[in-house]
Formats: sequence, C-alpha cells, structure tokens
Amino acid sequence: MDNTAAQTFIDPKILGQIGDLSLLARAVVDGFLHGMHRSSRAGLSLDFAEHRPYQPGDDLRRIDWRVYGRTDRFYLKTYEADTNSDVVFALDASASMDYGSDGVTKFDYARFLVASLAWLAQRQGDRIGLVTLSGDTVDVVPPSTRHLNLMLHTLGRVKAKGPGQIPLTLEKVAQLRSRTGIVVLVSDCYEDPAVLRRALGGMRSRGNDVVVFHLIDRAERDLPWSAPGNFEDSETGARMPLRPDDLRKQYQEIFNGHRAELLRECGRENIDYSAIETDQPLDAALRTFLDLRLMGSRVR
Amino acid sequence: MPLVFLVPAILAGLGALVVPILLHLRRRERERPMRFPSLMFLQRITITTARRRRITDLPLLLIRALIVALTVLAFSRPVLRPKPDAGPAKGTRRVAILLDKSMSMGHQAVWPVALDSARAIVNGLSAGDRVAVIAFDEEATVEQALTVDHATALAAIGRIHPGTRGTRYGAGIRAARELLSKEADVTGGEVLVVSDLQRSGSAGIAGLTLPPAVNLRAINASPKSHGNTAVTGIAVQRLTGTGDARNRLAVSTHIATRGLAGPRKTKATLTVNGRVSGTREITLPPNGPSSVAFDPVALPVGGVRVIVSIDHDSLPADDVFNAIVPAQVTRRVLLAVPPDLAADETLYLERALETGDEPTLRIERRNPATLDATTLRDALAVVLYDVAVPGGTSGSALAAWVHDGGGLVAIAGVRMGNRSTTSAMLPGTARGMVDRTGDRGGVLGATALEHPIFAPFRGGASSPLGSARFFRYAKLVPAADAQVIARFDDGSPALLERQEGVGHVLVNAMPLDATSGDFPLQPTYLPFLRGLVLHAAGNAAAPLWYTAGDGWLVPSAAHNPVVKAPSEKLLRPEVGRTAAAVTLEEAGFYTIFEGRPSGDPLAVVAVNPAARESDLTQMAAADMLVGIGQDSVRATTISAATLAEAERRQQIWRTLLLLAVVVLVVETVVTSRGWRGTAAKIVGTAPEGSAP
Repeated sequence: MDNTAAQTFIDPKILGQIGDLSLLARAVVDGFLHGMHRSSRAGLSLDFAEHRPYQPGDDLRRIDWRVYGRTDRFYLKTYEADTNSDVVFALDASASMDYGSDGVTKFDYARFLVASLAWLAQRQGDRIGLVTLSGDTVDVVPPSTRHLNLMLHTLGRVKAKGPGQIPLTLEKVAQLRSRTGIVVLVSDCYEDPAVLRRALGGMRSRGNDVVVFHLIDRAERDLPWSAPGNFEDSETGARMPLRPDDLRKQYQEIFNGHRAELLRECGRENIDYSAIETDQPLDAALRTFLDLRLMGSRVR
Repeated sequence: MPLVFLVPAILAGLGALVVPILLHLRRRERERPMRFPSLMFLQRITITTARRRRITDLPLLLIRALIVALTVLAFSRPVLRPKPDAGPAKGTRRVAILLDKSMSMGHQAVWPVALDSARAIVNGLSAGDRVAVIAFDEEATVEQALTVDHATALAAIGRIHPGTRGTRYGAGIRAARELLSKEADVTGGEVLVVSDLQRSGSAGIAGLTLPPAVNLRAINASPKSHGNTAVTGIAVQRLTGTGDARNRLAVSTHIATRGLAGPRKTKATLTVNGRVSGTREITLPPNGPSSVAFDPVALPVGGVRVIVSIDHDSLPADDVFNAIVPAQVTRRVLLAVPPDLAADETLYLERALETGDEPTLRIERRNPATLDATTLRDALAVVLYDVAVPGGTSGSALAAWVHDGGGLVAIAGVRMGNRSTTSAMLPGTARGMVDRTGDRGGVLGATALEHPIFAPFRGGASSPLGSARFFRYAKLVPAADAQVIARFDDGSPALLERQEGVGHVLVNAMPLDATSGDFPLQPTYLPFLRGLVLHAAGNAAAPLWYTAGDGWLVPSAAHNPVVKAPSEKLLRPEVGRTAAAVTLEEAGFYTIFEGRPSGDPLAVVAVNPAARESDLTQMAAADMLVGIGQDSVRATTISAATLAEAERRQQIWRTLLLLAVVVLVVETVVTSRGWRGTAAKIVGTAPEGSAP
C-alpha cells in the first residue's frame, strides 16, 4: 500500500462511515505505520533497566517471579526504551464539539483521533487511560495496557453535551494519575487561553508531557455564510441575529488571535500545541504524537 | 374601461401586505436557528440592533407582497366595466336602482351579488349624478328618492333585505317611472333593475311605457344553477277514531324540484304544534313533483299548527311550509220546509250538507213560521226549501238576522214557481216553471266561475256542474240589484245573489231533488251545496295557509285586535266601519289577540312564500322590454352585459390567480438558489435524532 492510499484511507469522511472504533483505530494506525519508512523511532529494547513495584493494571507476565521468591513482593522488570508509560487522554465532550459543517463533527474526529492514538500507544505497550466530562457525567478509564477495549467502548458511548469544562477535566486527570506520563488534551479550546495554560501548566509541572490537539472546523474558522441568520450557541443555547458578511473579517481576526494566544501560552509551558482542522487526515496528529512519544521513550 | 370590483370589501385584505413585511423583519428571529459551536468570539463584536430591523432583502419582500396583492385582487373579482353606449355627460345622470327583494333573491348565491352590483352602480357614479333606490317585490317601495348624496343611497341599499313575496317587475318599473316623471328633465335617466330575472315576475310589464329618454338596463344576479327544491303544499285529513281510539291527523306534503343536476336525497320533517312528529327520507327526481305521506299522528284539540320542512338548499325560504288545521266545529243549518213536503224530498239535500267537515253541519228542520231570534241565534244559515219567506215576527227576525250577517238560501221549486211568490228579501221572484222534458232537459249555461261558490270547479273544460240535467225548474226574474251568478242554457237565471247588510241572500232555481233532474246524482252536487250554504253564511272554509302578500280580514269578533307577526312584530289594524285587514308580509304564523298579545289567540293563520318564487327559471334581460311602450323601446338600450356577466366573461380573477402561482414559483426558485439557498444548506449539524 503506498503512502497516498494510506492517507486516503484515513480521511475523516471515510472514517466516519466506520462504526467500530476498534476497527477504525487499527485501520488508521496500520495504514499510517505501513505508509511510513521504517524508522528506529519505533525502537523497542530488551536492555534491563531496573525493577519497580507492581501496580494494579500491570501485565502479570512481566512480574519477576524470582524476586518474588526472594522478597515475597511483586516487582516488574523494566528495560531501557520500554514504552510502558501512561498515556491519558482528556477528551473535551462539551456541546460545542458536536459540530461539523462537512459531515464529520469535531467530536467524531476527536474520537477517531483518541482511538487511533490509543491503538498506537497500545501497540507500543503503553498504558492508556481516558477522562471525559460530558455535562455532569464523568467517564474515567484508568490507565492500563488492557483497557483499550473499555476505552473504545467508552468513546463510543459518550455524547457531547453541556458546557465546556476543560480545567475540570484536567483536574480529574490529575486525580487519576500517580505517575508521570503523557497527557493528551483533545478539545476545541473554547476557553480563555490563560485559564487553559494554568490548568495545563499544573499537569506539566508534575512532570507530564502534555499535548494539546486543538480541533477546528472549517466553518467556525471562516464564518462562510452570507445570509443573515439567527446563530445559536451550542453550549449555552443563546441566540444572536447576525449578518455574517458584515462580521466575517472581525470574527476571523478574533479567532486567529485566539489560536495565536493558545500557541503562545502553551509555548510558555513547553506544551505541544497542534491545531488540526477536521477536514484533514489523521496522519498529522499521529505524527505529532509519535514524535512526542519517541521523545518520551527516553524517559521511562 | 375603468376597473371596478364586484366584491370591493375583499380589497381590505390588501392590509395583509404588512404580513410579509413583518415576517421579513422578524424572519431571523423566528426561523430555525443556525447552530454554531460557540458565540464566544461573536459576542465580542459590537452589533447594533437597528441594523436587524432593516429590510435586508427587498426583492424577496416585493415578490411576496406581490403574491398577496394578486391573490386579494383576484378574490375581489375585478371587472373592466363595459363602455357605456354614448351615455350622458358626467354629473347629469339620474339613476333609479330597482333592487329586487323577492323571496328568490334570498338565494345564497344571489343576494350578495345583487348588493355588490347595486353598490358598484352607486360607486361608479360621478359627483353630481343623482340616484334613487327602490326596493320591489310584488310592490315597490322608494327607499331613497333621487339624491346626489351617494352615501345615503348606499345606506338605503344596506337596509334592504330579501322578503317572502313574489316578483313583479312591473311594480318596480312603475315606481321608477313615477319617480323620474317628477323631474323637469329626464334626459340621462336610467332605470337599473338588479334582479335574478325570474321569468315568473315578468307578468304585468305589458302596457308599461317609460319616458323616451329613459334607459332601462337589467343587472343579472341570477345563480349559475337554477336548481331548487321547494315544499309547495300540505294536504291534511282527519281520521275519525273508532271506539276509544283518538282522532288522528294524516298529513301529506308536496315537494317540487326544478332543474337539479340529478336526484337529490333529503329528509322531510313533520312538526305538529312545535313537536317533531315524523320524518321521511326521500329521493327527489331532478325535475317534477313528489308527494310524501307521514304516519298519522294524534289529532290535538283546537287549531293545529303544522310545519313540513326539508333539508335546506341554496334557497332556504321555500324549504319550510306552514299550515293551520282549524279546530273541528259543528254548526246548525235551519231547513225551513213546507208542510206538504214529501218524506224523501230533501233526502239528498240533507245528506249532502251533513257530509264533510270544516265545519260539520247539523240540519234542523223547521216550520218557517217558527223562526225567531232565539232559534236563529248561532245558526249558520237558513235554507228555505221551496217555501216563501215567512211574514210577521218570523219574517222580521229573519230579516234582522240576515242583515247582521246571517245567510239565507231560498230553493225555488214547484211550489214557489206556481205561486209566483214575491218577497222583498229575495233577489228574485219565481214566476212559473220551465219544462225541459221535451229537449232532454236543460244544463247550466253561463256561470260566474270567479264566484266563490264555483271555486272547486275552476279549471274544468266544460260546464262547472258537469252533465247535470234539469227537466223542470222555476223561472226566476232577478231583482234590479240582484247578481246573476249562473244561468241555465236557455238564459233563465239559475242562481241569484244579493247582499243584505253584511249577510247574503241567494235564490237557487236548480232542482235539488232527484225527480226534477239528475243533479243529486252528479259528483258536483255535494261541493256545490256546501259551497252554496257556506258562502251564504259568509263562512267560507278558512284556507290552511295564505300566500305572502295576501290581505287577511281580521275576525269580526276582535274589537281591539293586536296581530303578532312571525318576527314578533306587533301590528294594530284599525277597526272602522269596514273590517280590519292585515297584509301578510312574512312567512310563518300570524296570531291575533284581543287587546294585548297574550292569552289565547282569537285566530292563527299560516303564511307561506309565493309558490311561483320557487321557480328560478331565468329570462333574458331583453325579455323585460317585451310589452313596454313603443317609444321607450326605441330609446332604450338593453345591455345584457351586466357587471356580473362581464366579470364572468372576462375572468380577470383567473389571470390574477395564475400570475400569483407563477410569482410563487419564482419566489420558490429565488429562495432556493444563490446565497439564499446556500444559507439554508450551510447550517450547523443538528443534534442527534433530528433532521440536519
């Protein structure tokens, strides 16, 4: 399969026709990896590094039974370049995510993205977890190497509704984690950049690598309408009669300013910020994640 | 040609033009909102509310307003007024509007058109033109004399309502002629008849002349369909119960249909004294009469109000028929006979009089010399059977009784003829006998068929009494003031009449026994005899109903009569030297009371619309001139192209509606193409479970 075919396969519109997230994620990741040249970035290693205590969710096969025989405690052997780190996804499930001008909503796209990243992480032996906050409902999947199916099931079940609560979601992530790892925030970032920076900065200060995927729909970027209309806020239900023609320029300036502010604020905290438009294939997001993962592999 | 509207009131619907404007201005507020992820950034932009209230899509607004305007104009029935034929100069016209208010104008499809036509005439006049409004049915009433105040004329038109009487175009045209004749100069005079042009109303036009300069036109307001169903009559029969069974009343009704497209199903309902007593489902033929017999009902005591109705059609006034069945009473008839009367000589006479009801007659034989005031009191009539008028106190009592309203019938036979009896009370003298045995007997010759006695025999082709033959009869010599009602074929008087005071005296020479002729064996014998006696008594059988427009003589028993009309209106006819009379204008039941309208009424009469009004057959507008004076015919231009007909022919409304549909299609295309269509498509993704 050539590279073009692989990219075509992971087009969001096509992915939207696949109902099974597991199949979707596998297809995306396999297509993505097969389309890449082999690289040492995949680097798995069997060089022993140290023992560490067993934690719930750890693979029982990796328990060092000899040490158990001696100490009567469970220890796991870890190796250099072992990717068994925590990757926790914080998914913004606010109502504003349930919007798509071209068939695939931002929330759908986010689910594809999270599923694919989770699959990729699973392939590399990472422990994957998920936190979503939809309205008043919190869905938490603790990090584990065996929680992929549970996570995919949760992703398929969650509905986007209610107001945006990114800081609260990240707070749940912080409560969930005891180890450092990677925190992936997938959101449309309708939040004050300074507030977002403070919330993400807290994660970062705990030693986590933080990645922000800012999902953008083409219509919310361009405000393409000409006819006057009554615009309704998806989250609050507030309505506003508008003539987009007269407001487009001002709106685009504000929107782009918001993106620039987000980029600047994330940069201040060494947070990886990636703006992804939902009509673009998933490979850019995967590549961003893999680059970060490669960097993170150096840290056990 | 100026554009006028047959239903101008609908033009008020142009006010609906504000609807698309309001919709347009409020459209954004009410249309389905466009979902957007967040207004966080948009709310930072200052937006003035004044801008939202501005008309932002003028072409679309104009298109929608045009649709409304075209629809309203179409329903107001526009018509290009036909160009008048060399009409008079503006401001010099004298127009008399004759508005038909007969019963047939109450047709649901006629009266609104007639009113609109009359108003359109007034609205089409120029300032200075004079107009008069005359309402007519069988009579004409000037509702508004000639005036330049057109608003007053319009108000007069508004006061007119269709009634229950028949149509007589002649009455209306005469009234218009009288009105215009009062003008010093009738140049520019016009008589405009707004009517359904019923053919039955044309009687009486013959001989009418209009001033030469007066123009007569007809505005046809007739319905498209002339089909009509009407109840035209009621027949009642008293059924005498045997044993303990009560007397019953059998009612049948006659229904006439004309010009229906097909058979019509309807329900006939019988109401007796206000209670529904029977119904019948019937199918009426498209044309022709039908009869419906109801099951007999128990006969109530006293006069009975009977109403038969059918399901209403477009002309509801003739779908109800009223009748009064009078109470059954027995009256005394005194039969004064000579002493030498044979036992069976008056057999046929007595049996004939005792047969029948309304009223039932009871015969009392008397010696003429025994008649006195006491005997005569409450008697219906006195029959002197071949006996002279008694003299002395009996004669005086008889004369006084007749003068006060009694009825006296003298039967002149062999005895009176041979004695040549003379009496001042009788309208004729019998002088000898005529023997017709040689020529197979005589028959009745010239007869005054208009006389009430012969009412049952009207319409027959031959002699009213059929083939009755008279072999020997008295030869009557009429008095100077006597009326000869009938003569034998030899010219000899057969029946004489004279009024004495308010009573009637009749002398009959037709032999009433079976020995001097075969009259008793004829079927006409019984109705003739009863008619003769009842007429003499002034007690003709009260009709079951009157026709609207008839006059009704108030019963003489009422000294201070109060008449309550069906509409509850109270009438107080003046009682003078002559009997008081009331014109029965409304359909329904008129009730007369003594003094005040409460308690038991003295009498009740039923009134129904004129039967000929139910025939909606139309005549051509030009036919109205048939019979009108030659001068006026030359000077008159009949324009059959009335406004309504012109509207029907032009059908501008159809074009306007078609245009409205085309504009509607254009509007649909406009709103679904270009940015308007895009606006409808690019909307946010709807929540799950709802349409995008």
